Amino acid sequence: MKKILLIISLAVLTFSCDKIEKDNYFDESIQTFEYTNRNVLLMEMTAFRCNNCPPASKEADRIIKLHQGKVIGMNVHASSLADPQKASDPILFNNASIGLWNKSGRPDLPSGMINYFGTSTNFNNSFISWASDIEEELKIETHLNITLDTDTLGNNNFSVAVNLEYVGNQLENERLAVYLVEDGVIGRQLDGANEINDYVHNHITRETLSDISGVEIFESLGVGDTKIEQFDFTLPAAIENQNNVKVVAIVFNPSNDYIYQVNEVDLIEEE
Amino acid sequence: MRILTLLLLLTTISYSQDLLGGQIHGYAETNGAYYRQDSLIGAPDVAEKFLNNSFLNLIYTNNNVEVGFRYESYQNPLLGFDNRFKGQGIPYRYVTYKSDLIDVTVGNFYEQFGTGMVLRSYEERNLGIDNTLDGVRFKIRPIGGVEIKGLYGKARTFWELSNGIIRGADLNVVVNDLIPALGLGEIGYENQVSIGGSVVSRFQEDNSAVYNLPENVLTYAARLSAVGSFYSFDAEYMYKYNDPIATNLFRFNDGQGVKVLGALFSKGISFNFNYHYIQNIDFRVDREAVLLNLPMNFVPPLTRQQTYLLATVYPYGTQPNGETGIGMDAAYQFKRGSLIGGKYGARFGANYSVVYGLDSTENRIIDPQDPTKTTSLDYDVNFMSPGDSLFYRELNLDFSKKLTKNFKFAASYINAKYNRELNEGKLGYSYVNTNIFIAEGTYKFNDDYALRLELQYLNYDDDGIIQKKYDESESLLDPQNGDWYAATAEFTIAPHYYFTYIHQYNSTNVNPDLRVHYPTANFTYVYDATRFMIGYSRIRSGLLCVGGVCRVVPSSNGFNFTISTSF
Repeated sequence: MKKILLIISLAVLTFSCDKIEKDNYFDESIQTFEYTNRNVLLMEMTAFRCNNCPPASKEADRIIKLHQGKVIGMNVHASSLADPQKASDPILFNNASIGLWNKSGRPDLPSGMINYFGTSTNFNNSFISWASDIEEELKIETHLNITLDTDTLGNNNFSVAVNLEYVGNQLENERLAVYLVEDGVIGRQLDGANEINDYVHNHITRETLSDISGVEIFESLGVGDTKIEQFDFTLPAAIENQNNVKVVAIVFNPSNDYIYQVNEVDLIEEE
Repeated sequence: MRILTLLLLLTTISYSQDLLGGQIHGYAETNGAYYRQDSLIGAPDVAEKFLNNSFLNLIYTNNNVEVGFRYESYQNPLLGFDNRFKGQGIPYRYVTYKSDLIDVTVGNFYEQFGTGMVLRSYEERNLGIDNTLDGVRFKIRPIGGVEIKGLYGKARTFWELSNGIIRGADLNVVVNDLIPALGLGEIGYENQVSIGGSVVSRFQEDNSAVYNLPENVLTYAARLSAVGSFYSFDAEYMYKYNDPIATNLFRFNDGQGVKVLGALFSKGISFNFNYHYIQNIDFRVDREAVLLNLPMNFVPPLTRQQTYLLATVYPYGTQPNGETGIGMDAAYQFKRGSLIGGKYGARFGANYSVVYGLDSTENRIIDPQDPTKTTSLDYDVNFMSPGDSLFYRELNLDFSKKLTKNFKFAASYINAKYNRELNEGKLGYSYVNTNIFIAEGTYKFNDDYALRLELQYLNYDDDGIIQKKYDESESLLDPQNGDWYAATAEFTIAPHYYFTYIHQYNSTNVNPDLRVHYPTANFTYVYDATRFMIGYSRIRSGLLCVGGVCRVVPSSNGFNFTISTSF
């Protein structure tokens, strides 16, 4: 009997339990977060027939709202789960999203990529840790800032000027990628065993204004230098509401796809 | 790998063989399907056209040592299985040493403590569940009647291992065996009593920037079991400390479970009683896992596990976040020569089950992340009190009788009220009431030839909810609603040949386009321990449940085959 009691005691000692008290559910550190000049891109691989995806999208929306203006969302709808099955199904994939998905090594859904621009080795399938990974990135100073200015040219034609302002020396081979994303598209979404017909799809990648892998920034720029890249374009037919469109600009290192800076602007800015 | 593939293909060979003084046993199965698009029922166009799930289990035993592995191939997974299974490899391998005193397993193993409420590592191939633990397990029997288990490992998630680590221990004492072993004298064996207790803990790093998550989550349970000549009784209580996870919407409540199973039986009559109360006991190896991924426990269902086709149109799945209810089963065997029993006897059975939600109230607080909103991270709940929300209710009546030497007959009636909104997560779908009538007859022409016929009718009512939804959106693709008819004919030429034809028809779907026929035809050939089946089927989407655990099955249309063998 002593042997049994000894074994049981050892077993119980092996297991421990963390009890979280009622007034300590939230991590207080968030409320005192100090930002640097860096914004962070959260690229989410998703699809409307991916029934595991809505919890991840919900977490992404929460993080974007929490770090308003500092975290940029970009949802890439791809894989066979993005193929429409019915006439009423939303068409959320396009050449840009398929290109990004292929560039990313066709990951499982849902996946999130934090401050990496389409590479097969930097996915984080654990959406609950997206927030902490993003916070780690937000703490790192970066060597440039991006601002964007849009202009309406008429007949669905627009122009966007991407202003790169260097606060450090430009690194070699930087590339600039510019994308259009759309919020507020209503359409079907599987959610567990549930089918939601009026799901709101946000941050949908609609089109690239540069190449899928961006354009090279040739100059050797230093502290205080600026550079402006301009893109003229016609709004793609797939866009449902131009008032919900954003232009996202990304500067990254093509050798490892790490993103140095990202920013976005409403296509039609409020007057 | 070529050797494994060859083994898989050679499923027609059935043998067991001596090797180095030991023996090899195994089981292999391959399931393939050729899919066709069927836009009427929403069956998708499958890019690969042909999909296949296959596996081979191989076990080598030699004296006290057992070695085994399982090769699996999903290229690509059959429709309805999680696409993350895609690929092939050996996700399961182990070595076990067994003696009277101790068993040691390293590698993969399956395990269950008690009824499974604190730990159940298992494989349910039909559901795509395989949460085998990969680590170390000990079973120690230090004295007669006492067994102690200890385990440590990570669980399988598709082709990887979980982030979370599971640690567990279980003690089981058969009192009748322990007392003589302790020298406390002989006792009668009319009543066998055993007691037990379990403790299981999960470690997973707190990687949330929002919540303070418990990294070590503890569950424990105590149980009692007694069996006599006319009764059996099992009871288990479990407790789980705060475990905010995706499936409980990150609620910080502790969880509790109570399970009581009782049975009384005598010659020709039996009565079973099943009660449980479960609150927030979904225990996952990874707190982010949803659907059927990485469960670490299991609650035996209260409701009857139906086998008749139309009784599975609306199956009930256990709700681990909270439910309470009862299930009762009674059976009476009419004696031969009695008025109802006639020359060959007859059997009557009744089953009733009812499940409610819990009596609970959410505690809403201001969301610190967005002060314009409120959120809920815990709730108050009255222990063992049912709430107002009916989850499921079912009455089954069965009668079977052998009318002549060659003909036997069975009839069943099922009345069920099904909470579709809860079970299928379809907002606003409310309740479905069904009345199902089933008649079945088997005629044996001689020792080799037999024909079984089965007729079923499901009468459907939902108070016009689905009709209203269809009126709002005529694209509503819901193949389940409406009255159903089903017929099955199965002709057997024993012991090798089975011909089966099943026809289902949805006669009153609110969407006239979905009043369609669902035929299935199968031919099966069995030779010793090898089975070949080839068939065609058109399948509607819905839930497939095994033991109260359910997965969504998509619509499909196509040909399929299965080859299996054991050796």
